[in-house]
Amino acid sequence: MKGHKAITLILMILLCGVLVYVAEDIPDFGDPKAPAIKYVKLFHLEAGASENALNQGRIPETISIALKERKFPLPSRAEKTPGAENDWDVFIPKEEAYYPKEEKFYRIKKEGERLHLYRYAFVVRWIEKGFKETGAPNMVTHGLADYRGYDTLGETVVIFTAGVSVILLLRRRSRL
Amino acid sequence: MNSKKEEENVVIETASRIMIPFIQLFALYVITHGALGPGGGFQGGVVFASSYFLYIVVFNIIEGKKRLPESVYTTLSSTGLCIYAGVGLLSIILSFGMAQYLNYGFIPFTSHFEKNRSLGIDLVEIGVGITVMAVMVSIFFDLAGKEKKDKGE
Amino acid sequence: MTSFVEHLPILIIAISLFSALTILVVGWFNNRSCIFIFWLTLLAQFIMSLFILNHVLAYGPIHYWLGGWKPPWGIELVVDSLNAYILIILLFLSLACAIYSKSNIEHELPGKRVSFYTLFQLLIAGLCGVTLTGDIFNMFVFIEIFSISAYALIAARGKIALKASFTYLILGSIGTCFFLLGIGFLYSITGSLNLHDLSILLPPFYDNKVVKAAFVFFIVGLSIKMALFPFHTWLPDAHAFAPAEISAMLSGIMIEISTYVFIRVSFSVFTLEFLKLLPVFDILCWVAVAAILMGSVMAITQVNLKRMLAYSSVANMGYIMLAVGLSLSAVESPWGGLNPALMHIANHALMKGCLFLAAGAFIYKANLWNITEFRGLAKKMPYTCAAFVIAAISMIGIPPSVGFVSKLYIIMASIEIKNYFFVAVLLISSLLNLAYFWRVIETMYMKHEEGGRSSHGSHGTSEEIPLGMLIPILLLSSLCIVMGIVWLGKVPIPVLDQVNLMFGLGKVP
Repeated sequence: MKGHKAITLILMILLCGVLVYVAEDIPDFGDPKAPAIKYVKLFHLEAGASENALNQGRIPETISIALKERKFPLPSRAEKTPGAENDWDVFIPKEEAYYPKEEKFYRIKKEGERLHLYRYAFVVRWIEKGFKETGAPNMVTHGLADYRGYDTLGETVVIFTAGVSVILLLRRRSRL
Repeated sequence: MNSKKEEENVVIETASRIMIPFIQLFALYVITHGALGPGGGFQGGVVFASSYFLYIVVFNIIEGKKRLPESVYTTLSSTGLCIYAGVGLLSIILSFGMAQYLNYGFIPFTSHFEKNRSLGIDLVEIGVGITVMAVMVSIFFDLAGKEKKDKGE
Repeated sequence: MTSFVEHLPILIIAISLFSALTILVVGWFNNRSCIFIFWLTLLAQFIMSLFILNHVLAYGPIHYWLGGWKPPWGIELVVDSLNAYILIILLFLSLACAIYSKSNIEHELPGKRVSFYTLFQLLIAGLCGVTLTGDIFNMFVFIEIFSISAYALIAARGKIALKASFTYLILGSIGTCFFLLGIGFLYSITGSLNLHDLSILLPPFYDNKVVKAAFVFFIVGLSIKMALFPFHTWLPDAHAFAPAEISAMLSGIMIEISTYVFIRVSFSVFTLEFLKLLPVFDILCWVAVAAILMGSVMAITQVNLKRMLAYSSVANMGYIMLAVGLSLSAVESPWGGLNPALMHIANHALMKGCLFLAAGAFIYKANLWNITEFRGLAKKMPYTCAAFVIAAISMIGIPPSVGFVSKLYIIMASIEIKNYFFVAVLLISSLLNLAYFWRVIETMYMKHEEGGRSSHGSHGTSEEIPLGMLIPILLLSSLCIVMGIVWLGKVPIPVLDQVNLMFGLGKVP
């Protein structure tokens, strides 16, 4: 018995050590600018004459080349973010049926002499356009049952499997 | 002593007979209004099952088995999941292969795309609610049903 | 949607679910008809998977957007050559076990047939769902489905099987929990759950501590589920008390799907650049060597046949992990990149499936669990013992069988990187395999039965198992030799070369 307890204690200490090691770099809890909620940083470039091109709505060549070498999807047009100076939203084409053919995907911020490029998280579309596209005001419901409906099917199958397992193991006088 | 116990029994039985339909109505409200407020399929299914648990606790388990026989809840648990997976297949079939698996927009309930989607979400939540209710009741019967002691168990 | 074949991946999973539900409802009324629904569905799924492989080889990967949403906002199914290859192995072995189980189920679990087949079909649905997805959280949900079905099916027989399945339940849940923690860390850093998306979002974060910790959590969690060396303790107990066809599925498919998930997470999410930063795969090679030696040595000391085969499975998982660890360095075709690992996944499924089904046949006919009771069995059950011998020859690695081909390619890969210690380990383990299989073969063929002790009444000289159980065993054992010749003739190698090209391994053309 003592050997088992010693091994379990060592494993628990290792697990706590890994979690403490991680705690330095993980984003803060509830941070509204966390990557999973708003946007995640991709890279940065020197601003050149790109600003004029972005103000007119075109994508300058340097940004397209930088995106392509990192294998990101290529953008189609840009426009100024409503409500913020020095920020642009960049759109990419998407081929979904029936919905508008472009979607907001990247964000370019200008800080000093550099252009920082960010990518929006997927929940931004769920928050902003969820009610218009699916007709359910409750964000949890349209996230679970429409955008990610397949996972909810999997969870329901898990519940069903648990029920059948209890039938197999615990029921005695039954026809099943 | 006996009459006092029967009096208590009468109070509990009458109170639960009144409450159980309202609990079930509330459960149906939670399932169908999952798109508007808090709720949805999983939560509503459990509330619906809890009405059966109240019935079994107050009355006998044998009475409970008469109300919901084994064949009914086994079939119900399959039906709910059939509805969910069936809505997905329906969206492939009714759009002649143009739409994907769980794309509710192409099922022609109405002519608006977004209204089709919200109807699809409601159907799916009903299916989930039925399955969760039937599985909860099935597990409860298996865990709580005390039969005559079998030999060697 | 270009053609109907694009709908087939989701139809495979949907048909599984529908048939599980139908078996439960129809089985209430008619107990005998549920096996036919099961067989029909499995046959349809196997034919669909052949069409999928054909389409993927001709036109490239299939991308299927569930619900109509483009990938970061929705779930997608990705079928490329790796997926299609694993899917065919999975469905073929399930079909063999399904044909076997019709006669076996009367003996093992009388009266529980309907719920057994429902859970079996749900197990296959979960395994197909893990293989056919391109979203990492979806993989987790389907891992849950097949794990819960496995816990219940292993415990199906009754009293002592419950304890063995309980050990598997606790350890399997810890493994799944670590997998979920890894997913959570990756999501908190990048904000995306799609496999392709993660692979392009992660490169700026390779020196982030969270990403390194996520990789460690993935490795440990998946090692528990695939019974790699320090975490293998649940496997012998689970095998010793499970029904025969569930043992074949457990050792032939379930632990190999965990190695597929490991390959997918390491090479599709953490791409090749991350794996070259830290020497993780070198440590993996040494852990695999420990698994090979430990599994082979422990198998020699066992008396129960199924426990011996379980330890042999632990050793074979060591082979697959050694091949995965060597895949970064070995580049020559045909043993470069991931070729030996993927080959051994297929070969081990065939060999172990045949061995466990034969062991189940011995238990069915004469209730023989221990090797010492196998005296003179070859006269009574000639075909089963012949199939057992062919599969054992293949496990040892005698040409031209299928085990020889995978061991040959692993040896050539380790010769190429000039690490002769691994070559020595492989040869020693082949010798140890010979030691413990020879014991069984000798007892079956060369020792005569003790006088006066007959096992099942004397029905003549040959008491063979029913035909429904014999056909899968003979089919799998004959495929052990035929597939060996096919591998040596380099017929399926183009499929594996596409996998190497996709991940950037092997020789750069």
